[in-house]
Amino acid sequence: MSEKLLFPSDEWVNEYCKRLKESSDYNKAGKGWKEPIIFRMTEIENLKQKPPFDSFILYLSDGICEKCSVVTDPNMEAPYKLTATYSNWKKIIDGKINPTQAMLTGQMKVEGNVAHLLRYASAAIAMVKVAQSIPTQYLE
Amino acid sequence: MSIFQFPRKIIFQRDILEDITPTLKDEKISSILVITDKIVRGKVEKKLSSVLKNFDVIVYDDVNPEPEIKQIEEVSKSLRSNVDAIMAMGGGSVIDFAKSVLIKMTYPDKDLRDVNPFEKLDFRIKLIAVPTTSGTGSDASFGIVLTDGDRKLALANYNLVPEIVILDSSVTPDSAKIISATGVDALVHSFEAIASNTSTILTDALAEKSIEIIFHNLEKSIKGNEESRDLMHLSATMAGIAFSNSGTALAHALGHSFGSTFHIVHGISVGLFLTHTIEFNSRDEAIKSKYEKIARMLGFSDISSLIEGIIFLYRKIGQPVRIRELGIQERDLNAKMEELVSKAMMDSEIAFNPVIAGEDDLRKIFTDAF
Repeated sequence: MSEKLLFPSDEWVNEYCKRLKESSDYNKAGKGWKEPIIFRMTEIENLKQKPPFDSFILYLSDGICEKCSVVTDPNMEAPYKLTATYSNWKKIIDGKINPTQAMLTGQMKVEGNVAHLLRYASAAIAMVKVAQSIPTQYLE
Repeated sequence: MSIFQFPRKIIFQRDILEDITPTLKDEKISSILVITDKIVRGKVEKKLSSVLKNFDVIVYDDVNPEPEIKQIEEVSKSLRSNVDAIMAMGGGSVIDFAKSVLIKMTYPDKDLRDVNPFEKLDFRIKLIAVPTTSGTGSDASFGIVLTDGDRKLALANYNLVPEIVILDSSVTPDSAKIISATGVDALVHSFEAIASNTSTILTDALAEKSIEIIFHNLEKSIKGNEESRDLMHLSATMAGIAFSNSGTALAHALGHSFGSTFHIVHGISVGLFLTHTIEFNSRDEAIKSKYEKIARMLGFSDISSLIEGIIFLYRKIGQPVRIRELGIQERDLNAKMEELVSKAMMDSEIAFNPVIAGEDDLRKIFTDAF
């Protein structure tokens, strides 16, 4: 795949879920995790281009992404929610900040059972590596 | 952005404990809860009596190795909480116990299992650490390791870094077994701080120097060399600052799991897996370069020689190289394998390992380490 996918977009999220399924690193590190996660972007009003949505959800189970979708209902709940500014999501995907560090410094806010989440921090690293493998175009 | 957390003050001098009163008075401390164990109390009581008579002091000396959450919960309810400072005097278990008591005194309803690095804990009471081993690095770190039933919990919060650390190597033990196990712990901390996926040049600088000092001084420290003991004491704290600001990694995840399953002392346990994790992590080119740099610093030609050098050091200081040397049978290791792997996979330290390890990787390492 040489064509860049816009982040965020339906295509990007679907590609992400597909690549997570295929990632042996994520398959290994995500084993035992059985909860969906909402990924939310904030401060998108500062962007010149408006994104098609500000949240998406991944249904993860035992190292596999079973399905994904855009979150259209702002009141939708999930056991875990990761929130960061669009700019910080870009830094995480680009590898400029480590997701564990992002959580520790408050650049990424975590909602959910933090003690449980921390045990899967290596899965978070694997997820970032997968995200980095997607040729991505960002909004300005 | 990285945030580095250090103790606010580190005082390093042999025999400084006898003269610590002005330092404590400057900190506006008038009442102290001293947390220690019976062995340390017996060793330092005379040395400290002239100091502690200047303060309103309560002493709790019933800390056991590998502190249990249940004991901490019970004890915290009975201890007086209106003190200015908690002084933790002892090894890692004592310091971790004291950190936990500090949490429970300040937040009586908080479950220790929920302690995590993302929340702010506000302590009115100052935490002073006087490590008597060299060492777990708990005196300078944000971590606590507690026993919860049959598992080890590695917990962390940045507000748990002790404010004041007093490094007086005159209170460190003469026992070769203790010096060896705690020295190996400090060595593993240093290697893991370097390998960690959140390492920085600051943590690398501290960790590299610690490795150099430990390699050249651990054996001499066991033989009673005072200067070596002084250097080991400071380098253990440096290693603690390094790993506190970068994380430990796979050797600790494996060591916690193995130690809690077979009841093996922490330093010995993590030491068993150091060379295996160096090999495993060398798949990552960046980490391989770091290990090669360490090898050259120590006078070895490559990573294989570095590993041989570590094993040679282990032999000199009495650290077991293989699991079988602990008297554990292969069938017993195999019988516990799934439990070992499961615990290690759930250990938060595994998140900092530069190479992602799955269950099969862990099984292989546990087997190879036999």
